[in-house]
Amino acid sequence: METILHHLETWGCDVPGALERLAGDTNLYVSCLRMFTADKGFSQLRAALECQDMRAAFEAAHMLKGVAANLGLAPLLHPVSALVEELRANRTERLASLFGQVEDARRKLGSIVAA
Amino acid sequence: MGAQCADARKCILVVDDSAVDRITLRAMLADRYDTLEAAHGPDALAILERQGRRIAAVLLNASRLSLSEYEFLRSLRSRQEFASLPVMILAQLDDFDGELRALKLGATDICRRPCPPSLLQQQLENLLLFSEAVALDSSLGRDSLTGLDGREAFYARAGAVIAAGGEYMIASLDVERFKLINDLFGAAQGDALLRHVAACLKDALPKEALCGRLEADHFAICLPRTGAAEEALIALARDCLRDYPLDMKIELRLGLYDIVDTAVPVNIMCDRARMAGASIKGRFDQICARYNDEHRRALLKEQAIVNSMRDALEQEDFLVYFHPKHDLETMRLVGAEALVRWRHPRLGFISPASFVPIFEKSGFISAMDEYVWEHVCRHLRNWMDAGVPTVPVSVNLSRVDIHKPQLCELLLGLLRKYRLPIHMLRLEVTESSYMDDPQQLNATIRNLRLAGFFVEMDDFGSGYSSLNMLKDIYVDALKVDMRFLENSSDSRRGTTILTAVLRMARWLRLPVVAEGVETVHQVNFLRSVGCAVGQGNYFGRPIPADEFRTLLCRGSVGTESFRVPDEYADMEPEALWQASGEFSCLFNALPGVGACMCLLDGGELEVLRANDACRALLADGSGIGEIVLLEHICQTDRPAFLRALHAAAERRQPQHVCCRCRTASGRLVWLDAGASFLARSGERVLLALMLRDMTREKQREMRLCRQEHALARTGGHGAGRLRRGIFRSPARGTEWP
Repeated sequence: METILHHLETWGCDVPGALERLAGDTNLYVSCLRMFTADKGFSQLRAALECQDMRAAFEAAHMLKGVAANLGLAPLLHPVSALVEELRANRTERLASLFGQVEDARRKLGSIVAA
Repeated sequence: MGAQCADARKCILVVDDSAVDRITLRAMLADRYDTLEAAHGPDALAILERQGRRIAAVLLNASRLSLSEYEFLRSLRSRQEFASLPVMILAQLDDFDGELRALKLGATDICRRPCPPSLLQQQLENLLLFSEAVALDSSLGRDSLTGLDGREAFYARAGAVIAAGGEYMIASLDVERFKLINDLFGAAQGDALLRHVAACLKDALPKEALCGRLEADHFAICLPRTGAAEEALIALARDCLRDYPLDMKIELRLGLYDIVDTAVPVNIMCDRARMAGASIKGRFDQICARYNDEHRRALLKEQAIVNSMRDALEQEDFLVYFHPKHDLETMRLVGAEALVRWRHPRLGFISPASFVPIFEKSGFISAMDEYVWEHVCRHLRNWMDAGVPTVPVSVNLSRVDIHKPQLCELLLGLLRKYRLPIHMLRLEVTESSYMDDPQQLNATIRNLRLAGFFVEMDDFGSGYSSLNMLKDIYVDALKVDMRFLENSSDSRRGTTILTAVLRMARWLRLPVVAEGVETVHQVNFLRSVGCAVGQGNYFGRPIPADEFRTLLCRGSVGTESFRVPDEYADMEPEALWQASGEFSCLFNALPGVGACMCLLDGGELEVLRANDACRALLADGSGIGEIVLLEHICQTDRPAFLRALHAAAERRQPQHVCCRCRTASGRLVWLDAGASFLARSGERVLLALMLRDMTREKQREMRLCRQEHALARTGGHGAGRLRRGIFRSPARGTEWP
């Protein structure tokens, strides 16, 4: 457990902040992180970007942003936030690369918290 | 998810579609509260319906900016039993738009996350304490804002008094345009106003009178049916706010209901009194009205309409009529607007003016609109299958439809279902939707146009914000109602304004459809100002589908000729209109040379802009006002003048012509007019005219001519040489006598 938390912190997450919101329950925190790596929001975001449904993409990204913020996942929060702003302003040039960064962050999270 | 809440601890309903989020919230609240959870709005509503009483507050994640969470909030607030349920929105840190929308829909408080759990817990606690205090007040029946009876307490006490015997009346007191006051001055001022009214009521009315505040700005009074009491009430309505310190004239409206049949429930009596008051809404000469048979009939009729709305939909009592639209150039049928008619089985034909406002109030209009859209699509499909030549049909989008989250998808779905190309279904939105919520309208229209729909702005000019709206919202066409010109004592003024609007629309590349076209005179006027399409009794009344099909079969259908200026000389047309800019400077600064821009259409010439020198020349320097150039030119010279202008247009070369002209004061001048081509659109040509006063030269010429004649009569060979000399340019050197 400690190694997982340590890796998360080295990666750039705000572990203490997130734990505070979860009443210090580290097991709960890690299980939430595991759940999050499989969150349907990611697949919804991918699908929306693929069929260029900007509205749906914005909503999926917006939701992911909220959860990432609450879980202290700064390295994932940054690309997701940028993605939200691009979608909000209807700009499409950086979407693919930002989504790539989001996916990379998700995979990295997955590998850190893998059981 | 807990199935049932324990009694001792308060229960919070968490609505959040992220499973992770629900878990973290549950953890954050676990110390003090039990939680019930729902992923989506409909599930949350189901839980509330089953366990509403146990739920102390709702936590709603508003991350998604539309769809079911907003619908959930909207339905929650529209139901009496949940009207005072506290709702806390969980928002992200930079999401002010989402927060504002949630607040507008009735959210009580907002918590921005991520935040320390203590913050959320404290906010929740405060929220619950406050709502308990309000609930306590209301269980005592007291209205906490004014100290008067609340709704239920008033009904109970008034009911008892009336049943005990004696002659009573119920009065309803409302503040006119209270919502506007709240919007302009804020809720705190609105509340202060209500407290003031309540205090007046307590002071002015006899002790036996009962007063209550039923809701918002609606007060009810139960008092003995004596002349004195009624007079006191009317005096109160008149004087209570006369000197109220608010920068706006505030009026109270009174409705009176005499109690004759004590078996009628008190709340119905209050409704009737209120209805009487509502009937004089906006009437400055009347403060008070008594409920009578007319009100009763109107109320019954409205009730009948409301009751039969849904059946009418099912039994297809709503009929779709088609109002033809014709191209003003070719006069062919090019489209139609779909209108709804109601053939009620008992009440007969009910006009839309009667039922549309009622439907809008209840939101039912949305269902009716969808019915109309579906029927229009069905008709179009049937006609196309039968090989009938079809034209696009426009359908109306009401204010309620604009807010529908899946509007575009719904319409596209209909097109798919009936396999119709998108250009066959056009959409009309009204300007009044802009006034409600400009941003929503803008977003909706943008989505619709992106999808490929042709969107027309209906009733353009009828509201307050036409120019603003035109600046902010991009539509494909404008609809202007000709009846705008009716009923005004000075129809020239209306015509001038209409012409200006049409011209503005043309320069914005915005086609205009004129509605309410009744006479051939109007048709000619519209053609002359470049209006593309007309709709109205001149072309035909709205007709049922089968009659319209017959019309289509007659074969005189066509497509619109929306014209835009198609040829320009070197400059950008927009430059012509800008108040500043190099062209303007040049235009205004030409010394002594009158310059103007004119529109030439056959034998008609219209001056669009004229510089100061031009006015000095023709109008003796008067600063403003229209210059009707042709009228200044002497009749005999007009044909030559017009020929020169046409020649300039055709040959694209400047042409000069000399003509006589009378100024505004009657002075006769000789003008040298030079015309240059600027732009053409169809038959109409934009020209630049330079006008030079050559009176002196002409006079000299004529003097020399007379002298020549005089010489010729006395005989002399010099005459011929003289003549030759006059008509040769001095620069070349001649033999001057």
